[in-house]
Amino acid sequence: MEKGVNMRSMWPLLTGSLLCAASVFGAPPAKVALEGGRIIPVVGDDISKGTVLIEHGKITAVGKHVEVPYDAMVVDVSGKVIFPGMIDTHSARGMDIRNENLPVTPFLDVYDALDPSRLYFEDALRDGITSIHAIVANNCVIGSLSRVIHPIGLTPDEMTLQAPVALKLSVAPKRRSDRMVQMATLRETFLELADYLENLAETKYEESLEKEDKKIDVGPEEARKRGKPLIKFEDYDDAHRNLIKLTRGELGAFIYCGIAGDVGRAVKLAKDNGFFGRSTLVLGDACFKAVSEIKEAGRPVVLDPDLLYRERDPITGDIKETFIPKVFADAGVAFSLLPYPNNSLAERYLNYQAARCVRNGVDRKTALESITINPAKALGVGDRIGSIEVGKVANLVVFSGDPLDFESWVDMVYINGIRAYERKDDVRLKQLFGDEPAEVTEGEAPEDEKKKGAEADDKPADDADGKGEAPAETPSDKANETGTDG
Amino acid sequence: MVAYACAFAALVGVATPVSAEAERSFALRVGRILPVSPDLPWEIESGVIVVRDGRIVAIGSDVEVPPDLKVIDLPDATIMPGLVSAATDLAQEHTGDESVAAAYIAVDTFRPYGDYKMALSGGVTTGHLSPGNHRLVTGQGAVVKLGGDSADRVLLDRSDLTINLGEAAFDPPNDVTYTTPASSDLAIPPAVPQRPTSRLGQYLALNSSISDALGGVAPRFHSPHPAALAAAWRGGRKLRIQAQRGADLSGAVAFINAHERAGYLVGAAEADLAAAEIRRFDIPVVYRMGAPLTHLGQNIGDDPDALEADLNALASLSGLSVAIAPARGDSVSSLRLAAAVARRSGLDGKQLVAAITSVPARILGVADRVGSLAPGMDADLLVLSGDPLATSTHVHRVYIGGAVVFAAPDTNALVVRAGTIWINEEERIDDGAILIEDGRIAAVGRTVPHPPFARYVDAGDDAFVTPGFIDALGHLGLDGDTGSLNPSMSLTKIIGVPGVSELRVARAGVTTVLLSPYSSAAGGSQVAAVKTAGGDREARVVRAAAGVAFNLAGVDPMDVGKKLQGRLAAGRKYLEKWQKYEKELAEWKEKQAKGEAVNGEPKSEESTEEGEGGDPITGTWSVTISGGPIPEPQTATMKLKLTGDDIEGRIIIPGAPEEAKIVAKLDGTHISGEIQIDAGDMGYPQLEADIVEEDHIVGVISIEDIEIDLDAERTDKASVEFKVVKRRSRGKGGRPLPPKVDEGLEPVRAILEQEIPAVVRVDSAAQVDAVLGLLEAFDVPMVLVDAREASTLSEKLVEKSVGVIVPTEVTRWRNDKTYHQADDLSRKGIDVAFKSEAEDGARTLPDLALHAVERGMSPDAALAALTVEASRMFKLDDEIGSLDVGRHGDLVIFSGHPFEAGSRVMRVIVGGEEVR
Repeated sequence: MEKGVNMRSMWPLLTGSLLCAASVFGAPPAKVALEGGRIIPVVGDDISKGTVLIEHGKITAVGKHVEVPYDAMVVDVSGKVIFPGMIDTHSARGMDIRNENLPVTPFLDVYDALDPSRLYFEDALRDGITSIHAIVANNCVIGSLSRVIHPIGLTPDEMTLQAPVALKLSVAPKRRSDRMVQMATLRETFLELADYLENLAETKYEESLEKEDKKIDVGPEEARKRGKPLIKFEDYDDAHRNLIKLTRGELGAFIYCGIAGDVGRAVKLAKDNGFFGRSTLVLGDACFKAVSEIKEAGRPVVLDPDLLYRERDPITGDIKETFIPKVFADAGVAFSLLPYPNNSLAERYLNYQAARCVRNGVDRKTALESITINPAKALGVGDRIGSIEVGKVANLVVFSGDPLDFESWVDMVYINGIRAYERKDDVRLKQLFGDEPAEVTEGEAPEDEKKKGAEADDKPADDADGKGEAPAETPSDKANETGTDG
Repeated sequence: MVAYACAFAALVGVATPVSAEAERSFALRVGRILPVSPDLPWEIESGVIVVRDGRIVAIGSDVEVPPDLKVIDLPDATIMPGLVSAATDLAQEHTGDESVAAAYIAVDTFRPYGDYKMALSGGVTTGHLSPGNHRLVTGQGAVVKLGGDSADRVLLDRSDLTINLGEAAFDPPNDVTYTTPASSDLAIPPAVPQRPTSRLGQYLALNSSISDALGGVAPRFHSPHPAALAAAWRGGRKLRIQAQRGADLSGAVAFINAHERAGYLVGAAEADLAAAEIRRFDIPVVYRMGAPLTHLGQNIGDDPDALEADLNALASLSGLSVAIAPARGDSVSSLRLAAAVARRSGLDGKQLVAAITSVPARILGVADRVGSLAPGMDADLLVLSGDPLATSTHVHRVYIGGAVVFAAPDTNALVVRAGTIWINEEERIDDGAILIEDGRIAAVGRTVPHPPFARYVDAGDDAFVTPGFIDALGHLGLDGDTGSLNPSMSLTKIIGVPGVSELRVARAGVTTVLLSPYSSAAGGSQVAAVKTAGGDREARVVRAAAGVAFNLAGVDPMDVGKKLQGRLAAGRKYLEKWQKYEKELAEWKEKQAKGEAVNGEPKSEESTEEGEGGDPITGTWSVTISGGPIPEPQTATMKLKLTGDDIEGRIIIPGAPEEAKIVAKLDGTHISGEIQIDAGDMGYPQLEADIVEEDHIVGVISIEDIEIDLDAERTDKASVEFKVVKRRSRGKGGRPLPPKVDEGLEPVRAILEQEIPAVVRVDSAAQVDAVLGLLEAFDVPMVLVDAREASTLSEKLVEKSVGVIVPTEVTRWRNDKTYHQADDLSRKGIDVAFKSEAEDGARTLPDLALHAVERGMSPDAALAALTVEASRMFKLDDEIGSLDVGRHGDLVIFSGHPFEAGSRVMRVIVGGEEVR
């Protein structure tokens, strides 16, 4: 308990020290070459003893024989594995609240709720997650705008990679509601939108006439027809602006389905309102039963972090277990995995989730894609992140071994070509393991450097007190993460 | 690891398509069909239903089964349409506050991938989803199937406009509309009170909502409901009016008529008060039962207005279009039981079956798909064990769209109902039933328990059930092998899975054969009680040694006693050894229990015997044995001693636990004798050898057809001493050791202990008399075989309760009159049994009894001779021979009394499984 208190009071400072690493030590080198490691680009074949060249935050060369510019900082990663930065496809953990009380809030943006000082971002770095889709949790009807962020930066703007990304919707009922009310509310929202547009058109036509000092000369239907071309984007009010973008296909939609039966309802809702082509299905655990329907829909899917589904026969009492990703892999549906912060320690790691898939018969390539390129594509940033390819953002994880090996750890994390995390400088791990964790000392760091590091860690600890209190993540917060409403 | 393995297994299950197209085409051949269709007879006996791609294409008793379809035979089953529950609690009430809210549609709560196994296990395949019972207009209902292909489960997504009249919908909460985002010019409006608050108000609220919606009068705040209400109204949805009170029911009828809409009533607890209106306008009613059958014992309290449906109300609806539905709060799976209970109202059984199938299907508007069985309808079928309204009937299988969506778990319980059940010679039940569980009779009586999912055979009112017949002496399965059998061998060793011969015998009703070899050994041969059907040897053997057969036919009456006596005397000696042991053991245990030390620690009785020396044999020999099964030559040491011509010795064979004794005779230079090693049934190995030169013996040790060469040289001529170790009589701690088991005498011991009979074949009166004389000396159970002159000694037979297995000849003559020995003895009070003395000839055994009946024997006495008396003779009456509780579930179902003209075997059941 005592230790916990201690940790809690210290963490904002620790986080600060991590996040500020780049600024504290000056501008990052413009060119970095990671040399001698095994490269798992996810897209394309693995390269043993290869080099990744980063210039100005972008990957400019990948291969076995890369000409390294004279002015590049060379980092020897021989014996290690270079892997694309992993992507948390659906997380509300970086925000101060997970969901609004109001059911329909398309006018909100997660931008306003992001808290860069959240411990979650530090954890994400340590776990090799370089991109996070910050989106409200499932306890909503229509949630808010989401964005893709990096777990480093002092402001939401600094963190943002892409915004806006999608609107969150849920066809599973919000808490203290039910599916009839949920679906009626969703349908109502879009009916009301249509109504609003009609009225707006009529108003615009009237206004245009007023300018010319004319009286209204046609019936309302004709007025609406004539008014429609007069509407400019600025005319839309806050409550409807994002919904209009959604129905025009200018925004993505992340639709949560709690049970298998919700899938059909989600697909119908999206098709009826014109955003099916940009929809991603966020699936509850039981949704795998609708796998053929999901395959037919052909939209990206995000699986529930609980990968094992259990059901009990009501008559015999027999328990049947299903490993969900295998069902999707067998059906040929590409999926994204989520980490599971509520469950065992291991399931918090995306690479562990992927390893479980391989263990349960999913092909290795599919498993690796499900934590890198599949999420990137689902978020509409497949051309920027999710794999190690020339031209992509240099979001990389250097693992000590194979990412699916239980004994591997995240050694370094590069975001935008900046070294955002290095295990040997991880102050919290030092707190946990003592000053000289055995794993780290194996490396090539000479004695005095380590001492320096230790001193450097001590210093900010003294300034810590003034930095104010940090909201601790309460267990109830965590319970809200995935939502139990399915 | 286990979990992963399970996951894999589960995945395999998921990956396999459950309802492949081929599986949805089949033909059912069943005992009884209730199609509940206006175009078909109420009941079709021995009918066929042909299903293709999940739809019924043909139904009837004279339908030909297409050759390309798989045929499923269910001769005992009753098939009816899947049940339709026109009211369920499957959808939860919506949580909206609006009093009139047509935009809530119940199908949004439906789980097309859900597992409704409990409902299916109750036979319900189609149900209505209601948006709720708590508001004036709760929304729109839906009709769905509870299983089958997920894409095909929704029959109607908007089946009706659900209206609730009565107290439940009064005083809805105030309606609050949140305007978002609220601002200074867009305030949150105050909560609006809603109608109805009274009985009158409900019609006002309804009519004004409908006219406003249709007239396009803008609602106060934006709400989807008026548009939905208008769409529902214009779309001609049926009006589903849920009401309980008589006043509300009358009002509902008036409302339906006023608007000239199709509509029906649901609930209708006080239907009797509105029966006149309902009848006049012929409004269909879904009557919900009063108390939930799955949660009985709920209190109503003393509120005088508390309302509970009672069956008088239902009785008032007789002849109308009435569907039955479970009470609110009840499980949908109790629908069939609800209909059974509703029978108390006096409604006709047929109407009640229709009230849970075709009528609700018609009321809900899905009668073109479900609710009855006719060509073109969905193959939603129930396989029942009996009449749908019989309380003890079980649902065995459920099909939806031709796919099995519920199959009862395997059970080893079987219930047979028949007009007559002949339990034993004294007891029979008219119109009774038998329950067989785990192969044994668990209950017999006028009614018996029907465990869940028990198979059910209703053999009919004319059927006559008897215990399985017993062939008291047969050779089934010996395949003509007429050799005799060593007394220690049991014939059960030849038993295997029943073949065609066994099947023939079993089908004739003979379920047990007392199996004996064609000819008995001098020491008697074991008789085994074996069933004619069963999955394996263990299931077939009733008792491995059920008797010992002695053949004394043709033996001089003076020797008859001696021959049998010798064997019995040997048996008695053997028995006494065992009795002594058991007594000692009991004493020892008693002392042990008291903690007393027991005298007689492991003790070896020792003595020495000394040889003479100086002869060609005496001394120590080095022996080499080779050949036969011995892979390479082995050496051993042998010590021999010659006394006169008798050679005695010991041989120590490497690896053997103790020395073996050699007993032989010297004849010139030839030695012949035996090595006393216990080799089981094969006896002792024989030794034949010759002294080929001085101090050198060459010979052969043989046992059965194994021969081992022996070559020995004398290494020492000194006389030898043998340590004679007698068998220890006490083990560790002074515990008495059991005597050596003599397989040959074991059955004799069982006879002496009165567990099994001696089965003695005799003929003449003198022989019978001589054998009976032995009974005085030994007091053992005895069965006589043939004993053609037994009648003359009948009093003695009765006194000693000796049964007779009568010869196979049909008729005998006495005093110029024919008589049948079975009849003759049975009338004198002697137990009689029939035998086939044949292999599959045993199939004619019942006709042997038929002849006896023809010759005057009473039919029931003949039946007793085939069953109870035969089992009693062999002391097997606790196992077989009657239909009392605890006996094997072996029975024969005849179409009438077995010896009536025209009566034939309909079914044979052995160990609870039908012989087919």
